[in-house]
Parts: sequence; C-alpha cells; structure tokens
Amino acid sequence: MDTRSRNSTVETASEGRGEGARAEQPRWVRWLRRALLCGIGLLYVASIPWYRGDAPPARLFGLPDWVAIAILCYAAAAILNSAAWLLTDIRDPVADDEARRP
Amino acid sequence: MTLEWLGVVGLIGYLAVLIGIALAARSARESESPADHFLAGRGLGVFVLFLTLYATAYSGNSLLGYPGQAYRQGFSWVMATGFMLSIIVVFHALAPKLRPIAIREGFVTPGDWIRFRFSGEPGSQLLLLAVSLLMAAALANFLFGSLKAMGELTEQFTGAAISYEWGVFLLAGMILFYETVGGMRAVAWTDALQGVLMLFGLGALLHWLLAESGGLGPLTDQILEVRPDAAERPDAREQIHWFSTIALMGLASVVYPQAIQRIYAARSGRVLRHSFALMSFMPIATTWVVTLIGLAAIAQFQGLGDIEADRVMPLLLGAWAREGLGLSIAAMIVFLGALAAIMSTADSVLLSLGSVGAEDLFGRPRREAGTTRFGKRIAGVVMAGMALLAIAARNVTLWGVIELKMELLIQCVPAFLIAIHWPRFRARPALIGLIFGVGIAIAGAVVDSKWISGFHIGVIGLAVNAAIACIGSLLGSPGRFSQRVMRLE
Repeated sequence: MDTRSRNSTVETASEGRGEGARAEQPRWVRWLRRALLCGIGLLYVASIPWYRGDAPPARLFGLPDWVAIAILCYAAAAILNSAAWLLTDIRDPVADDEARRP
Repeated sequence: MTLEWLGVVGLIGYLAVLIGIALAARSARESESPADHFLAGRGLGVFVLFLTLYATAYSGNSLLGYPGQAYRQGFSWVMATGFMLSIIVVFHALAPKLRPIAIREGFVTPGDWIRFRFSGEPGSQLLLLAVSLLMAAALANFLFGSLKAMGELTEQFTGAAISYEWGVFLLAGMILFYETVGGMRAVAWTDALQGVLMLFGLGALLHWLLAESGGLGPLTDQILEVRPDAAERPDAREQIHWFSTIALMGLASVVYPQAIQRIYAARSGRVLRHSFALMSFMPIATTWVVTLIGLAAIAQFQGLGDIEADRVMPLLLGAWAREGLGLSIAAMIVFLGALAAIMSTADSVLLSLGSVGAEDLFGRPRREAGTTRFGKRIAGVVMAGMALLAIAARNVTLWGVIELKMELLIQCVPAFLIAIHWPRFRARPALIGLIFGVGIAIAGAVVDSKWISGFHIGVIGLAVNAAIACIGSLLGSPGRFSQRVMRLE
C-alpha cells in the first residue's frame, strides 16, 4: 500500500467510525450538539397537531392555534438548528487562515 | 408609464446587470478546469455561499408553486415551512462527513462520491449510472418547473407585452449565456444579487398584505368567511401526509446535485457551517411569507382552479400595482425578486446537469478542460429541450411537478446517507434496493396512486429500498470500503 492510499484509508476509516469531529473538540460540545438535534426532533413531533382534540381551534397571534404552534415550533427548531451548525466541526484540509480571507 | 411597461423596463435593466456579472465572472476565472467552472475553484465565502444556497433552494416552485398550494390547501400548508427547514436539518447527516472526503479526493459531481465509496465493488458502475440518471431526471424536471414559472411570471407582469413563450425563450437564453460564460462564479454572484432582491421583494409584499388586511387576525377572519374549511385542523390521514411530506422533502433535497456541489464549492468547512447556520432562518423568512401570500389570495381571488392557483402571486402583484405609481415600482421590485428566485435555481440546476451529464453519464475525465466544454454543450441541448417542453406542457401544476421529482430523487438517499455512515453498506444491494424503490414510485405515478394511508409512495419506496439495501449488505461479504476500515480496527 503506498503512502497516499494508506493516509487515505486512515482518514476514511476514522470517518467511517463516525468521528466527524476533531479530536480537540470538547466532549460536552459534541453532546450539546446531539442534544440540540434531539430537541429539533421533538419540536417537529410537536408541530403536527396529532395530540389535539376535536374542539374548534382557538386563536393565537391571530392565527388558528394549531397553525401558530406549528410556526412557533419551526421558529424554535430554526434557532436550535443554527446553534447546532455553529457547533459542528467540519474537518477540512484548507488552513484556517485561508478560510478567513474576506 | 403603465405597470406593463414598467415591468418591461425593469426586466431589461435586470438582464443588463446579469450580463455585466457574467462578464466579470469570466474575467475572474483561473482556468478552464471542471473544478473552476463547475465549483468556482472551491472558493465561495460565507456571504456568497449563503446567498447562493438560499437563492438555489427557493425557486419558482417556492415563489409560485407554494402560494398556489397554500391557496388550494389552506392553513395546513404551514407544513411547507417545516419541510424547508428539514432540509437544513438533514444536512447534518451528510455535510460534515462528505466535505472532508470531497476536498481530499477532489470531487466535482455527486457521482464522484459513488465512485470513491463503492470503488471496485460488483454493481458499482450500474449504481453510479442509476444514481446519475435519477439525478439528471430530477434536474431536468426542476428546470422544466423553473422555465414554466419564468414564462408565467413574465407574461403576467408585462401584461402579455412579453408572452409566456417569449418569456421562456428570453430568460432561458439569458441563463444559458451567463452560465456558459462565467460558470459557477457567475451563477453564485447572480444568485447573491437574486437572493437580496428576493428577500427585499418578499418583505415588501408581506408588509403590504398585512397592512391591506389589517394584520393576521383580520386576515384569518377574511379567509374563514370565504372558505371555513381552509382553517380546519388536519385529520389523522392529513397529519400522516404532513409527516411524510417533511420526510420526502428533507431527505430528497439533501441529495440534490446542486446542493451537494455547494458543499464541495465552499471555501472551507467553517464557511460551510456558518452558511448553513444562516440558512436555518430562511424557511421562516421565506416559506412562511409565501404561505401567507397564498392564504391572503383565498380572500382576494375566489374560485381559482388548480392551474390558475399557481398564478396567485402575479395576480396579487397586479392588484398591488394598480394602487398608484409608488406601489407599481414596489410591485416591479417584487416581480424582479420572484423572477430572480426562479432564475437562480434554474441556473444552478443547469450547471449541475452539465457536470453530471459530462462526467457521470458520459464518463468524461474529472480534471480536463474538454469535460468543461462538453458539459456546456450538454447544458445548451437540455436547456433548449426543456424550454420547448415548458411551452408545450403549460397546463401542469407546479406542485405536481415537485412531488414527482422528489419521489424519484429520494431513492438515491441510501447511496449517500447510509453509505457515508455504515462501512458495510455495499453497491449491489444498494442498486437492487434503488431499482425496487424507483419501481414503486413509478408504479404509483402510473396508477395515479400518490399516497398510501397518507404516506407518499416515494417514501414507501424509500423504506423498501433501504430495507433491501441494508439486509443485502448484512447478508453479503463486506465490501472493500468496509474491509479497509476493519483492518484498521
């Protein structure tokens, strides 16, 4: 196996085991990111009005309440998702200083 | 000056700016290589990448199809905000792992991942062909929908001074010009302009709608007066359909070739994650706004049929513009914003079609300038064909077009999302699963059975597809990718 393919295999294997984050990224950051993603899943479940009874919808912010709840869930999910992306560590061969070019 | 001529003048000015951007992009190119033409030399920064992701994700379907669907379906179309957000959520499963491999290996097309991941395995070439064909079909479908939307909008807003047919040909020609001349740079830079126009235009339209109706409460009252069923809580079957649509759109959109290529084109991983962080807010800023526009149209235009419903946005702009010169100019800006949204998606789709066609379907080498030229020729031929089709098949609903495309494209998901996380996943079972999934989706379209108990036929096809691919991978011997990993463990 030549050097290039050995290096390639090592990196690929690491990715294959699901170690998407850099070694130096603290564990709590990875857990927080996972917690945020779980929160997004729960908000999606809550956005669909499967748990509502047959009573006529009330109004919330001028909208039928099940519509307003869905939109609030999606707005909250957008905030959590944005935070989760900021905590995502995407390994990249490009140097950080080059990445900061204007 | 009448609204119609204001529309014509605005359109000419906008097209002139696009020509200028295309020429600037041409002078900024570094080489004729496919990576430079199709990925802008992998140098897109946060601002441009975010706006090109935004302008690409929100298309003619979003600007015309979604208000039309909100008009037809009522408040339950709030689901559209959820499924547009789900795309950015599902990217968590793909982008962080795909990006480093793509940069290291020099990927240009989605097919490069299939080649790399299943290299040397039995069935890998057929899997590449099947995935590429599905992606090309989805892209062509997307292009058709965008061209149709461009023609409709142009005819409506110029008062038929530019007809639907001429609108399609004129704008298709313009996209082909700047995409051929400037490649991904021209597409990304025009997308940035188009994204800003679209945001401004939608903001102005929302402001006018809410001011006109007196706020969300009175708007709801007006809708209830005309169509009380529009506010009814969805029943169990519709709730399943809601969930299924989120799954369909979230999963299928992640394997859009143009989206995958933007993961490759980002200047760095940091740029990519910041762009996705910003993109998280765009469903609220855009999809929810166009949903409100469609709902407002229920009160303003009663009794529109399925086809006419796709024209509610131009109809609203026309109503707005009749109220004075100032509002006419504002309506023109909204019109240009909507047109920009459509064109920005069509140009990205065309660029992807050229690269997927040249490299993945015709097997041209990844690093040669000849591949770029061949990709441009493919783009020209496809654009001409789709423009003719858009003229011939004007009476097709935009949402119907979107759903069919997604149900086919979603069958590619296991070859990306499962393959990137599970080293044991193999090419041959993936191919067999994909064939079954596509077969189920096509059978559903043929017998006109789009849903089973509320689930999209494409989502059911994906479940069967993934089950076959996973069970087949477990039963068979590990593939080369898996063996490489196990040796290290």
